[in-house]
Amino acid sequence: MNILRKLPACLIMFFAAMPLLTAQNRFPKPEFTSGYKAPPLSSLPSAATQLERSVLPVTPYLEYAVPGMLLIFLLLSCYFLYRKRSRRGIFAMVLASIAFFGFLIGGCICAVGSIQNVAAAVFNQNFPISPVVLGIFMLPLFFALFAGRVFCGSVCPLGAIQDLVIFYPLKVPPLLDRILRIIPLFYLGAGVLFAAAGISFLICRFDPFVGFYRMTGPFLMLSAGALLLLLGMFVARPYCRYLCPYGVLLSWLSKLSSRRVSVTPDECIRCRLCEDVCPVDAIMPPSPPEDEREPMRKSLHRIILLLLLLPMTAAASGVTGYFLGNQISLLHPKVVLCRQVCAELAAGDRPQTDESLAFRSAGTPVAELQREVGGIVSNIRLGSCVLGVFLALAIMARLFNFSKRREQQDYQVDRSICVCCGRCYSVCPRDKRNRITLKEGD
Amino acid sequence: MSEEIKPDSGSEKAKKTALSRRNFLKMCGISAIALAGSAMVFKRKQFIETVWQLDPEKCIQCGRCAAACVLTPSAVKCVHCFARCGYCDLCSGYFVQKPVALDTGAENQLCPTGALKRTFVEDPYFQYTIDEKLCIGCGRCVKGCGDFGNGSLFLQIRHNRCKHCNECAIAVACPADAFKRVPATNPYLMRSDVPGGKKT
Repeated sequence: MNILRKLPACLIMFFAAMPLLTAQNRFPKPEFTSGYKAPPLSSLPSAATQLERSVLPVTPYLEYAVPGMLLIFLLLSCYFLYRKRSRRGIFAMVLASIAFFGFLIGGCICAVGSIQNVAAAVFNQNFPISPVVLGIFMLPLFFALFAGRVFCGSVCPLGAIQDLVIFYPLKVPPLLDRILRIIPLFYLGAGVLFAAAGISFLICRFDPFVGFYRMTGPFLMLSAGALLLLLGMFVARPYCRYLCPYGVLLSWLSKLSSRRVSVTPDECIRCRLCEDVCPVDAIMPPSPPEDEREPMRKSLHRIILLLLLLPMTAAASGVTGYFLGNQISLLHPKVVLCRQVCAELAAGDRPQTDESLAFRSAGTPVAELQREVGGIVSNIRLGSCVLGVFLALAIMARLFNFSKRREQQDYQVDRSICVCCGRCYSVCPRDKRNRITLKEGD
Repeated sequence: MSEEIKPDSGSEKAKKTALSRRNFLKMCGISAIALAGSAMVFKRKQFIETVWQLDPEKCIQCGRCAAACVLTPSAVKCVHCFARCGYCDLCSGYFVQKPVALDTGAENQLCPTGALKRTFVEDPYFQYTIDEKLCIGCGRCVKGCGDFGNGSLFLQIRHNRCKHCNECAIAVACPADAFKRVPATNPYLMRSDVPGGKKT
């Protein structure tokens, strides 16, 4: 039986009876007379599956190693930070984090990116989420409730690589700092909205450092990472402070933590060394004496003004969000596809893009796609409206916080800003370890 | 070593209430996290480990797998299902259209890297195997075999290469929406009409 000679006839038959034949082989499997046997590895579900499941991330129990290690790292960081008060220990954790969470795990999945998995799973019942992802998302938040942002300081691989390159940190002017700190709120909001709507995983797409850990990646990602690291030599931790969306969640929760980095275990002598060395400007000076401060009445007036402005801002921002939703929905791949297909059908064209070719050859009715897209667009509009209100509230809450009168005696860290790097320990002259060295020097 | 505020702030009582407010808020935070977590766990069936895989039934062999992956060469490679193969002499997955001769000359081969190997079995049958080291996942052989042959060649993500990006770069680029998260316990997707092929 020569298949070659039968080929034309086969083809004609095939095209005539396409629907009937789709489930069958066009050319029957030969009956070999030479005792030939097909190689075993080629049918994937048997041997190859077993073979390849022995490789790291697919094997279930090894998968749990990541949240397990995360827990160990967090506990160790707490130990070094609060019990040992050791910058050296924290630095060792930074190196370990770069090695394990960075180079060994290859970046994914990290707590920062897991925000989107959780958001997608909350808003979409069919989105699969694993215990591992949930654990990675929740563990640092849980620790932030009790011990502040220990995760940022020495566990997060993105923070660790930035911590390593801090060379000559400059002070960011306070006003600029406060304005730039609003960006993560928008980034968090956009990341959650995009993930929940199924547009894309924004935070992962613009992750600047994962390319380094994998030692491969798109040019744009690698160059953005390099630029951030270069900037990070002079403005400490630029991603953590002015971009990181997970940092927003951590700083909210860390406001509730009873523990914080206490600069001096002893009496503060107001040498200001800690304020100078803090890379993220988290150390707040003592409040000035009563007669030098602005009168209580003034800050009260400001707070009342903010409260009066609150409903208006929230409403305006919500409406803006609602109308921006139309533009945002244009980024959804299904919406793009629907517009393309409708335009082609209206013009009577053949498929112009791979997307519309795939859609039209799959034979799904266009009306179904349009119905689905309608749902998507209205969801995105609603989500973007809610996001607008949320952002307005969050920004107003910040302004409210700034307007509040602060009472403190010593140099103290702001829990929500401090990333627990432990640098202030190493400079405080009242710290026990430093005092010993001073005595030796005398 | 919890925060040690100097006792000179005066009212011990005020400090106590401030701390208890913090504790109250903290309890709220903990219970919110715990509630959200447990609600998510109990509500859904899809509480499983997943990995990325491409559905060969949706794949249109556009060739983007080869370029879009964060890895070079791509984590997507071709798989040959011998159970489905016709062992044709004129293999439309191996040869370009209108080949000069039916031999292993490079000008006749569809595969840009020569990853598809052709060996003689018995007249008139030839066995085709994939050299995974050379395969770049462009899908040209898959298209050729699917268009005119049995469709015994597939593209699949090789999980020994895949970096398990949280957002798969190829899934973003895929025009046919063929990439999805599948259970890690069953990480390959075969066409349902393949012997031994399981749909997940």
